[in-house]
Amino acid sequence: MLDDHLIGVLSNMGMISFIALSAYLVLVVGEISFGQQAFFAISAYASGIASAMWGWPFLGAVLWGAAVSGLAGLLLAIPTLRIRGLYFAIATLAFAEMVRLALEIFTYRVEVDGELVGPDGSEGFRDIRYIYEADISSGEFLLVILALLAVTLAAILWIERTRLGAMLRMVGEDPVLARLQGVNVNLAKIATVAAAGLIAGIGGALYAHLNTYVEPKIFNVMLGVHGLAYGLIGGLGTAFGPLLGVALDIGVLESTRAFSGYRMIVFGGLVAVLLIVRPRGLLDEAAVYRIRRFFVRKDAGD
Amino acid sequence: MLAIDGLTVRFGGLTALEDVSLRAAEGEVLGLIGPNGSGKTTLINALTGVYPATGRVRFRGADLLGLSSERIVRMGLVRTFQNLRVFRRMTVLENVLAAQNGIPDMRLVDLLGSRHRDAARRLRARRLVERVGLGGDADRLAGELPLASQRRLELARALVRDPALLLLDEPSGGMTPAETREMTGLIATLACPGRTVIVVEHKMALIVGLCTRLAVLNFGRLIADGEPTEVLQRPAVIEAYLGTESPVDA
Repeated sequence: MLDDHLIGVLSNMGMISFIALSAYLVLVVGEISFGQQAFFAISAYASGIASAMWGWPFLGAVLWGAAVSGLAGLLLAIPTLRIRGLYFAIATLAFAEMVRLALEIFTYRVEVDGELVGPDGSEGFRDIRYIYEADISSGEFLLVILALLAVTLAAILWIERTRLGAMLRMVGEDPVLARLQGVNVNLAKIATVAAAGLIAGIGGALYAHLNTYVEPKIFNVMLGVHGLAYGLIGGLGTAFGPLLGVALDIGVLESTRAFSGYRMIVFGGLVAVLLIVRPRGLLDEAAVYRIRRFFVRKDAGD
Repeated sequence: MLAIDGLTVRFGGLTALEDVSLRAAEGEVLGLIGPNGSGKTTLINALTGVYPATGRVRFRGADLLGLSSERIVRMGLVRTFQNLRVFRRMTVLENVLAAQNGIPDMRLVDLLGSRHRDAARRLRARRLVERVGLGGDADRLAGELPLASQRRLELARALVRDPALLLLDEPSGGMTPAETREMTGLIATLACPGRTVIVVEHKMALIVGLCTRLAVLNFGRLIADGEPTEVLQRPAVIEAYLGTESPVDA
């Protein structure tokens, strides 16, 4: 049996992986977002409202949260379409701070079973009690997280194998050239930012239901910066890259306590070193290409 | 096929192209020359929707100005780049495969098909890679190739769309004389009935060997247009291009 500490670490890794994948998708189309935590937050609230206040079933609440944050992604993507690079990064950061500050004043409470439930501004949103009411253990919830993560990862890996995936990489590497090869760059970017919002939203919904309590200050910029750094550490050549980043940071640095107190120093140093020696992370395109070739060659030899 | 009338491109106060009118007939190989900064690449950028321009450009009867790059390229007007643009993080073959977005027989569902498994398109891409002499490098990352090979890749990538109008922007730029000769031979095989080629170049040997007509730009204006050897004898061209000597000897 897994002990509670391990279950906690794995759950955490699973939920953060959604933010990492979300930031990764935006990186694939060539932009840097410091704001993916906003989608995590939006969905945490939206799904919590659905399950705790409207009495929706858990899975419905997760899908609802992801849909709302996906829609928020769409709303962010349209006005930011024509800005690039540093300016896009600043816009996403500003958007996330707007969302966080809006949640600080967002109050929406209704009476459920004789008790007032709902988001209460900076007091946060308590009593998202699904896992108590349905009597779900943390181990079982871990399986739910891993299942949803597996589905998300499979969807991204599948898209990366398709022409659509190739188009997204074209947009990321050289949008002018992509356009001159018949790619609708605007549509690709809007769709990607919306999808990234949706994916971060799945993680946010899971987070709200596992912790039963969320408050705006959890969703600060450090959450987004970590999500971004995971792709940059693990690599941008494959969706396994950001997961490798999560495993290295949470799985090794945070959880083993070998670096206790120094974790952020080691993490920051790791990001800095990798940005210099491997700007697109450990599993960058060239590495993925070599790995793939290695296996293809083996197949050919059979 | 292509009719340009009064094409003007301005960047703030600078006029990069002024009132350029030019025709290109079907099956023709038109050379476009001019000193550095005369507006050759600007003309290509205006035609492909990269820069906004005024005037009128008709391509197979349709107006081009104001259309987005992706619409223009889908109409069959394809270009290469003076300052080499390939997807360096993709293999040679992937570059050519990726260039097939929006070609007429591509449907929306094809977007979700595996990019590794489309046998017919793959075969076509591989043949073109071999045709430009990159058969042995098909599975290498494009960024690892030497410059001359990257130029060949640009050519294969343009051809995979079977363009009606092919704009080559200095296809032998940065090449050795031997590589330039090979490239000239390769370009000579590209013109065919139904395809017009416009070549921007500095190297006269390439231009004179390939082109059936020659247009000359200087300071954003068209100063000559006609049969190549005749155009190169005109005093205005000689003066613009080299000052005193005949550019044929360059």
